[in-house]
Amino acid sequence: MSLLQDGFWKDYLLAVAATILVGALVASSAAHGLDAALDRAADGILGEAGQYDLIVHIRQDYREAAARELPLVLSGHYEGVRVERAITVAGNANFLIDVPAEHYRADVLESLPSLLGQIPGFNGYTWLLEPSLTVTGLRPGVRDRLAGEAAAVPGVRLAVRHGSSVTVVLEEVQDQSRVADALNRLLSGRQLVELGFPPGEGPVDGTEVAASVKDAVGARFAADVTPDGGEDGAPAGLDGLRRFLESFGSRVRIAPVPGSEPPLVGQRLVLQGGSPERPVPGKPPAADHVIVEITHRDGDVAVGRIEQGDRSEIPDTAAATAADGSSDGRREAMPAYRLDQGFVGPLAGTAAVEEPGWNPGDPESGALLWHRVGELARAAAEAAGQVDRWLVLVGPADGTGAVAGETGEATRELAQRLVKSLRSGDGAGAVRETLLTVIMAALAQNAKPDGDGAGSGAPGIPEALSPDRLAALRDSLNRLAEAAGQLQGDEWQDALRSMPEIGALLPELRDDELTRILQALEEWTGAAGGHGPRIELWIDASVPAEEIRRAAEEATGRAVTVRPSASGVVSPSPRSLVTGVLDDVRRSVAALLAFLVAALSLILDHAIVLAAMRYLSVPDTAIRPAGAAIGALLLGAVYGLSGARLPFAGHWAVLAAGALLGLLTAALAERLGPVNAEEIVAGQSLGLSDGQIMREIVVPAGRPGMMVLVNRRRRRFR
Amino acid sequence: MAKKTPLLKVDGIHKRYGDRVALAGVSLTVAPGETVAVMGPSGCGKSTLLRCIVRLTDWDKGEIYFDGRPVGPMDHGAIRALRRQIGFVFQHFQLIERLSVLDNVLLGLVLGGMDRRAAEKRALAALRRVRLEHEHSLRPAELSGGQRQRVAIARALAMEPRLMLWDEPTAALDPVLVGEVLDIMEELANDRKTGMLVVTHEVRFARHAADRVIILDRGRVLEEGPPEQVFGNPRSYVGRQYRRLLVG
Ligand SMILES: Nc1ncnc2c1ncn2[C@@H]1O[C@H](COP(=O)(O)OP(=O)(O)O)[C@@H](O)[C@H]1O
Ligand SMILES: [Mg+2]
Repeated sequence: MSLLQDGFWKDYLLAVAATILVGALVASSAAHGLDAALDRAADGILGEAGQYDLIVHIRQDYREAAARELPLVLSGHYEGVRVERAITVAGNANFLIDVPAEHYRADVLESLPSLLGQIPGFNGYTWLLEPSLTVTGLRPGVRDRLAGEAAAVPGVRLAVRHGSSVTVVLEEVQDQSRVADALNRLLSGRQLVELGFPPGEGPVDGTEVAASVKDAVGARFAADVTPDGGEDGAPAGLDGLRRFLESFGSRVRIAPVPGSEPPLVGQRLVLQGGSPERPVPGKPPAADHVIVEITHRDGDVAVGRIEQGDRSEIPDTAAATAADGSSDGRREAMPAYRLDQGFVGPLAGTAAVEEPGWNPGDPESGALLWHRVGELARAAAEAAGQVDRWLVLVGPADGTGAVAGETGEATRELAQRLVKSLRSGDGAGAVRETLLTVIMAALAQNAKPDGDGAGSGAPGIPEALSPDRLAALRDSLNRLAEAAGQLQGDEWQDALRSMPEIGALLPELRDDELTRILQALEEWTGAAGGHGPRIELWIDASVPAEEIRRAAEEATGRAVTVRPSASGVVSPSPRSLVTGVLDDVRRSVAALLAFLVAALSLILDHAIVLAAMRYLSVPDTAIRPAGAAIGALLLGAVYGLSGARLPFAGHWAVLAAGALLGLLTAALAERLGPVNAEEIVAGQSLGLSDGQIMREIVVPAGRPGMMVLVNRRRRRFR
Repeated sequence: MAKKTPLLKVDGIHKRYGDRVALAGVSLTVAPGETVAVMGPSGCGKSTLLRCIVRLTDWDKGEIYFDGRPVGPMDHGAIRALRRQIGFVFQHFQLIERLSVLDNVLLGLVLGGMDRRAAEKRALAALRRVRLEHEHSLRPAELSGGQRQRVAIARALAMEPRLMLWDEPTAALDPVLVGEVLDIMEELANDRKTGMLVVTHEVRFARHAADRVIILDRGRVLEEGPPEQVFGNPRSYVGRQYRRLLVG
């Protein structure tokens, strides 16, 4: 092609290259400029990166009190801790805490949250440790071990444990991906395996089992990470939760028909409940009958829980004679029929509903339970802060964004999701979610007009979760957590009495809803009944569960069930998330600018070249492909070099878009870049080459663009 | 006298645009220094013939020889060399509007590789020849039609071509301006240095300045001969039309 002559083509390529470089520079620097502006805005909210270490959330009405107390409390323990006021969001006043270098240690940072509990209106906290990575979804044993190992990774300053997470603070931001890789390798290289042993055969020594399993399977790494709850083990937390929730549920005591055996565990009974119709033997129970599932025996009396309906649906017939003679805490007794294969069967006895509420069982387990309540409440408080996100996750499939319709339906769905998430193995997350489910159901229930059961008039869950409600909820959960942390012995019973709002919060849950949640939990923890010892092993991910099971059985001589799950998840710090969003914005802006640059260059520079080609010794059929190629090259290169990225467009889509732009330019070339054909022909008649014609006649008459600029250097006629 | 190689020989050229026949086997010759006038009604293929000679248009059949060398097989470089030896004057001047008068004349010289100062000398000489040496720094837009055409002539002349092709050089001019261009054309014809193939409707010019007249119609040569013969005793209808113009 004679376009190559006289170096014009070289200049053309030069112009293209210059366009690409300048375009990429413009696109990326404009995007970065925007980025910097947004970053400053983010700094205004979060403080500069690394400036503050912690945000403390305080209920708005306690702002002034907290502003006085916070510096006193914190600097009383650690001199030099600085407190700054920040903006108030959603009913929360925020304070930024700066821990001075001399106190910047893991143990100090881990101790801060407990100090914050004393601050009036305390409503949670968020770590701002920078630069950092957070590993979430850790079982307690894994968390403690990981904190130690992570602190030893080069580039890690310290590792702070909180909840089921470890926040790893880095020396340098640049280390972020390297440390993330190291942590990911560490986590994905190991699995958490829960070993369950049959009940009644005595305790198991986790350390010993871990050692024998390690030898037997030839693992490089195996550690006993059974949490301090001891053999109560992994689902113990869940089991604690189950007992905790169970204590809110109404218990129905069934006194058998004299002379007959009490109903068996697992048997279902039908009660009239609030229905005008008595259950009729031989017919299926009505929707407004109450169905009770027997869960255990208490002497001669069978005790059950409400699977359908609510205690409130049982009319208050005043203290009818209860089976055990006491009317204290029992409201009534009514006939209970067996439920046989979906039909009402013979009379089984009389049912009495125990007054529900705080009833955490026997005193010795009460203290432990109370301790758990504290943990769970803390987890729930954290979770409450994430309700918005969670709501999006569980949002209904119809996409309306609101959980409408029957609350009971919604709760059931939530319970199903819960079971799924439990099975998928994120134990800690599941606990949090469970509690959240309860809370949400409770809130939804609270928001209902009086007397309206599971009616269709119930407001959607999101409505029930207004910022105010959330703040209040978080507040009381935090206080509960705080109280639980400080109590000893059986002071819990007093504390319990002094915390009516918690009681008032939860019992609003319908009994059948609660039962469904309990059933979901039981499905996970194994059975409603007790279970044997459990230990948790953290071991090479490459070892198959079956091998571990065999090794554990050999080591203990007992039957073992294994349940493997992932170790945990590495996620960037909140600021990294913000930065990530900003980065997306920057990349999208860069992409738009790349399009602009490509379009401008095509119109200013290339339209005229493509238009002139028609008169030069270029086959006409080559013009459109040439346009497509140059368009794809321009857009592709500027896009790539400027670091642009559109979430919906891959590389090929961008190249295709560029080719399309180029094709369009070629098709409209004569209109976009008018060339004077007579001048071109005159040049040809003088024996000029195509390149000379482009350089001296066509391009100088074109629009001012990169081509005109580059061409100017070598042009002979001005 | 021995028959010399003609400067230009067009041998049975055929050219069609789709269904439309532009040239249907045209043959003609131009000897060195000879002036040949080509006449014929609009659309008979005159412009196409000139464009073929410098390969601005490709033809279908036949061959064109310049100085005995076939033009058809020439590559890009040879075509450019050919064009530097054949001046082309267009009906619509086709000056480069952006460039000054001098630069228009210089363009072919400088880009053809000539030293700038030598080129300027030649360009100014060519402009003097068309009596425009004082207008060299003006832009084409500042000139009258006749002046513009004279710049175009100077542009072609400066290349010192051996053959000049003229495509109705006065057709676009105001009648009062036609004379200044025709005068220069006659001078050039009388010089006998350059072969000239002149497409024109100017019967007087053809009568006085041309050595031979060729009448073209519908892509064919109808009549060919010295002007006295073609205009004195025309055999074709077209020829008689021109004769009437001359006499009337
Ligand atoms: N580029 C072209 N495309 C199609 N037809 C053309 C083109 N150039 C000329 N023609 C046709 O060829 C014929 C000869 O045209 P042309 O050589 O311009 O005639 P003249 O110069 O004698 O008026 C005419 O019929 C004209 O319409
Ligand atoms: Mg014509």
